[in-house]
This record gives sequence, C-alpha cells and structure tokens, in this order.
Amino acid sequence: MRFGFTEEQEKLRQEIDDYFRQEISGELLEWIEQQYERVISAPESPEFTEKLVEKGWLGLQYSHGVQEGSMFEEESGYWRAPVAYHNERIVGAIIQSVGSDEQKAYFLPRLASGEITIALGYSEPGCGSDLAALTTRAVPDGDEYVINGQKTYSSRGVNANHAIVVVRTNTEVPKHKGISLFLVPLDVPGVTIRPLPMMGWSIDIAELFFDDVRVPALNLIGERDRGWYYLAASLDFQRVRIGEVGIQRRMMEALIEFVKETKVDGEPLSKDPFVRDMLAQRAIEVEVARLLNYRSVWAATRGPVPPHYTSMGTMYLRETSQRIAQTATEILGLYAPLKWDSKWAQLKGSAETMYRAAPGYTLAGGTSEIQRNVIAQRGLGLPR
Amino acid sequence: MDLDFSQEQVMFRTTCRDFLSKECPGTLVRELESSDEGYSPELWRKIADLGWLGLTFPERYGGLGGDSLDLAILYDEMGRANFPSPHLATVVLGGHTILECGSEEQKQELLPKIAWGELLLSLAFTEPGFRYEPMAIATKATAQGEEFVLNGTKLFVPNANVADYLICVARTGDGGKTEEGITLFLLDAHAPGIICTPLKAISEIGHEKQCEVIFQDVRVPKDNILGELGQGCAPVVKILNQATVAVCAEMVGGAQAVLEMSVEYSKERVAFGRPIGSFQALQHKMADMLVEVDGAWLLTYQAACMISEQIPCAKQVAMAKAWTSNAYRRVTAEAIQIHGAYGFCSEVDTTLYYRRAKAGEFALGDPRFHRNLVASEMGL
Repeated sequence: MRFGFTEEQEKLRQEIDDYFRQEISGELLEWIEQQYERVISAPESPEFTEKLVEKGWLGLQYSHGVQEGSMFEEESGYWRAPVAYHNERIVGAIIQSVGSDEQKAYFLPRLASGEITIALGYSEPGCGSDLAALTTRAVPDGDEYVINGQKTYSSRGVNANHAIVVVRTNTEVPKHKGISLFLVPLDVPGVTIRPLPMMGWSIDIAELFFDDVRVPALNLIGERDRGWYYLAASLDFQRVRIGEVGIQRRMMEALIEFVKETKVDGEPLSKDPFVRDMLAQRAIEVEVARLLNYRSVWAATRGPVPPHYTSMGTMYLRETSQRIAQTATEILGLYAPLKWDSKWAQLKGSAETMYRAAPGYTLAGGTSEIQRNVIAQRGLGLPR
Repeated sequence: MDLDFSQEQVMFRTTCRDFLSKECPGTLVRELESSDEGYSPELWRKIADLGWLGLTFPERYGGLGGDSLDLAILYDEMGRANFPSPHLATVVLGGHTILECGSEEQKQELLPKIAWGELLLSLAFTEPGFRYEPMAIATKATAQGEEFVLNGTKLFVPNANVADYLICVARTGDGGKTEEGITLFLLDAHAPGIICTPLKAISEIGHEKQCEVIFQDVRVPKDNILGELGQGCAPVVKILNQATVAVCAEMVGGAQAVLEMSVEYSKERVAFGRPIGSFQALQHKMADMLVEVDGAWLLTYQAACMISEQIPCAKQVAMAKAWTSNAYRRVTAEAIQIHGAYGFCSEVDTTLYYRRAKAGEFALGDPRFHRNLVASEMGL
C-alpha cells in the first residue's frame, strides 16, 4: 500500500512543473489570466499544445500509464496550461477504439492537428440526465444519413467546426439500444447555431439545430445502434476530473496568500480563527477529493473502474469547488461581488467569477443527483 | 499510488475479523461496558496469544515487528466489532512510549510483559481545562533528592482503573517555552497518593472508559524517568500522533460496519410496498455516507502509511482526525435514522456506534483543534 507516487513519477511531475513554470510566464501568462478571470477556464493555444504533443505529454497515459497521464492533467489544471483539443482527444479515443480503418485514417490526424474541432451534442431540450430519451433522428438515405433535431447546452458549440451528435437510429428497440454517434460538420446546409449565454463558467455554449442535415455514412462512428455503449465508456473516462483538483489547489493557494497579506484592524486575516477553520476545512475537502479521484485512476490500472468510484470523485470534487467559491466570497466580504475589471476588486475578481460559475459544477457532465443514484445503486447495490 | 494491502496484511485482517466476529458479539460488548474492569481478561490473554499486543514491538522484545499500517488494520477490525479492551492505553500510549524513549533496561523489562498480556498501562496527560496540547501540562514534579514528588490532576485517562503502571506527563521545569520542561514518569498505578476515579460517559467501551487520576505528593524514583529530563514533549507528541491514527482506524471500522448495517436493513425493510432502500431520499443519504466513510478510510490509511514510511505527516494525521470524527458522527446519526425507531433501541448495535462516535470525536483532539493544526501546517 502506498499513497504517494514512485520516484520516477515524482521526477516526471517535477519536469512538468518546471516546464509549465517557465513557459507559462510573461505575455502568455497575461493572456491566460485575462481569459481566466472572466470564465474560469484556461484559453486554448494550438502552438502551446503542439509543443506538448512533441514532448509526448498528451499521450502519457498510453506511453506510461493512467497515473502519469492523470498527474499531467492535475499539473495542467494547476498551472492553467492552455491545452487545446480536449474534446478532440475524447472523440479520437472513441474512434481509435471502435472506428473503421477508413475513419481512423481520415479523422484521427485531423483531430490531432486541430483541423477538426469538436462541440458536444448530447443534451436536448427534452432530455439531459435521461439522455437515452433523446429524439434527434438520423435516417439512412443512400450513402448518407439525414439528421433532424435539436441539441442544447452544447459546450464549444459556438466556436467548433464539428459536433459529436448522439442520435436515434432505431425506434423499434429499447431506447438505449437504438442510439448512434455521428461526427457532424457544423458548416453544412441545415445547421443553425445559436449561442446560449450561461451565467458563468463558459462563454462557448450553444443550441444546435439540425434541419435535414446530410452527413456521409463515414461519419457514423463505429457500429450503428451501439452509440450508447461507446458513450458510456467515454463518459466514465471523462469523469475522472484530475485537472479540476489542480485548479482548486491553485485557488486555495491564492486564498492562503490573500489572508496572510490582508490585514483587518492591524491583524492578518490568517490569524482569525474563523478564517483558519474555514480554510482548513476546505483544504481537508480538497485532499479527500484528490484521494477519491486518484483512487479511480489507480483502479484503472487494474481493470474497469467501478462506476461509483468515478461518481464519488466527481461529485465530491465539484461540490467542494462550490464550497471553495463560497469560502472565497466569505473571505473577501464586501469586495466579493466586485468583478475582475472593477476598481477595488480583490484577487482579480476571482471570487465573483468562481461564484457565478459554481452552480454549473453540479449540473454539467452528470448532475450530483445522478451521481448519487450511481453511488447508491452501483456502489452500494441498493435497488432501483 | 497503490491501494492494495499485501497478502500478509489481508490474512491478518481476516484473522482479526474472524476472531472478533466469533468472540465479541454485541451482547458481550454491552456486558463488558457496564462491568467495572471494562474488558475480559480471558479475551485479553487470547489476543496476547494472537500477537495483537506485541504487534508493533520489535521481535527482540517479544513483538511481531509490525508497523503503523498493521496497527491501523487491527484497530479497523476492533472498531467494527466494538471490541472493549485497554489496547490503546496499554500498547500504544504505554508500550509505544516505552519503546520510543525508554532505556534498554526499561524496554527489556516491560515490553515483553506487555506483549504477553501480563501488564496493563496508561498514559496520564490531559488535565482539567479545555486544551488538548501536551504543552498545556501543569502537573508538577518537584525534585527531592533521588526522587521526584508529583502533584496534580489528570483527566480522561483511559483504563487507568485497571492499569498496573501509569506514565505521567509532568512539568519539571518552568522554562520559557512551554514545550520544554516536560518529563515522563513511569509509576506504579497503586502508589500511595494516587487516587483513581472512573468517569461516567456516553460510551465506556475500550479506551472510552476513562478516569480522573489525582496525584497527591506521589513519590517516584528518578530512575523511573522515561527518556531525558525535560525532554518529554517530543515523544509524547509522536505517540499521540500514532494513537490518533489508531483511533481514526477504529472509527473507520465502525463507520463502515454501521453503513453496511444500514444498506442491508434498507434492502429488507419494506414500506409502501417496496424496500425502503429504493427510495431516493435514502439512496442519496447512503451515497453521502459512503463518501464520508471512504474519505475517512483514505485519509486514515494515508496517515498510517506515512507514519510507517517515517514521512513527516502532522498535517495528514490532523486531516484524518478532523474528517473522521465528523464522518463517524454523521454516519452513525444517519444510520439510526435509516433504521427508524428500531435503530434507537438500546439493544440494537446502531446505538453502540452512535455513542462511540461521540466519544471518539473528542479523543486526542476534536475537529476544531485538528483543523487549527492543519491551518498552521498550511502556513496560516
């Protein structure tokens, strides 16, 4: 039993840290902070990403293992590394796993280079948590499919040039068994994109409308009607959110520095028992969230990850992030509501940014309620 | 990271669980709790034979050479079974202190006897007032020739009423820093001037059976000092950390057991035509309980591993105690709620876990105390 990492892993982590510390500086850092202050997500830099590809660091989970890959994710989150192609990597992994040789040859290089960028087309106005109830249809017609329907809350929907769209291809079978995945170009006739402003977190969310949109059969990923199972596997993989652990570590450090430097009535806030207690509690929660998520990563080295592991890790991390946002506002007090570009803003307005982003944490990628269902039913064996 | 136990550790855990599930049913727990001694000498001899008392002592002192991780496994299983015994007081608070700073002569004299079940000990350090740190010690030890004379009151001393020896943490100097001038004295628990009064509490199981111990002009030879004069603070802090992790492991075992009880009960109990475990309100409750329990498990075993590997871990120990105290408290309360009024009956084990959780919350530092330690470790 060992909770730390091996010497080799720590050396790799140090290498990654040193690289990020050096490269994410000067103008690049300014550019990142500008975006970050507004939307709590690092912007994406294809050039920066290219260098990481060259170093082999975006493929660490294949060259070394999932633990190394996760370490990289955590440090990327911490340093706010402007890594691009997140969705593209997920889709690439699906195509790698179930795609035809023709699909691999066509799509994989274009995904890796960023020529194809991906928005997620999962939720619909009528279904989010109950995704299997989706109604967007894809009907075969010659060597094409015709897609009709609507997707909403599509992340990257404003700026991407393709979408991975989950559609119904069979109405004669139980709902999970008639679902397929399509890679749909968003610049073809019949596609309408409408940006959907959310209160916080991301500025790249849209509604996608499909009116008789024609796509080649090549764009049907894997086997028809098997899409639900491909998605389930990839969603589990997505849910180990180690990058967010790094992000919260950074926020905690910023708060610690703030309370050490800020004085009220001549005393630093760091000596206020209430502030100490709150920050210590948050630190313990971040540690538990880190351990829960790395437990999933460790489990992945031994086989399929028990679904409740990933649900516990995600749910707890995201609810902790909400608590950290609240704590940040409590520490900043009167200054908490000030936006990043306001006079007198403290901590570059990040308490306000985080707090506006916070409700999204327990809604995106599986609501907390769904996660708790998974934990109870698949973790504890409680009856449906 | 590797969360697997070794084969030996798995076998050890199985042995512990098999023994305790056979020898320590809930009825016995309640019986022993209400007895004066608070433990069964017969079971004590049996666990001595199993090597549980010398688990962490080096082999040359009659022990098995185990580490903090092995100790955590033992306490995990003892917590699951609510096993009443003076193990923490005797082996960890007493034995580990002797191991840490006793002379070779003292170690050879005492440790094998502890391992064979022939000696019971405890550590008298907490005093009236509301502080947990050893630095708050006021019990005085005044030098008089070849002896010291002890005066003071100790509180919450675990299993002092059955101890053969007490290790008293006393102040010999009044140096500038309160960490200095603390000395450890090994005393016959029945020496003249020692008055031991058991306390009555919400739980009196195991180390939760605690006493007030008054020292009135108690004479102790200076040869009975453990370690160096005035240098007792560091060893005490180290032993308390080890004991804290053991108590956390005990709470983890209890928390897991009571969650399992709740899951099983909710699968069988029917209301409105269906098992109550199918209602979302209870499912979500138990999902939250699992996060509490698994968080406690991860933090506790992390601290145990770090102690075993001799990596500094004051922050991790404090995190484990702060979290686990709250987790056990919440999980036991919810467990009763899930069992309904049935879970509130004295005969049902949910009430054992609930009562113990409250005692454990305050043992060796409550969540607020440990969060403050975490804050200091964070640089605040």
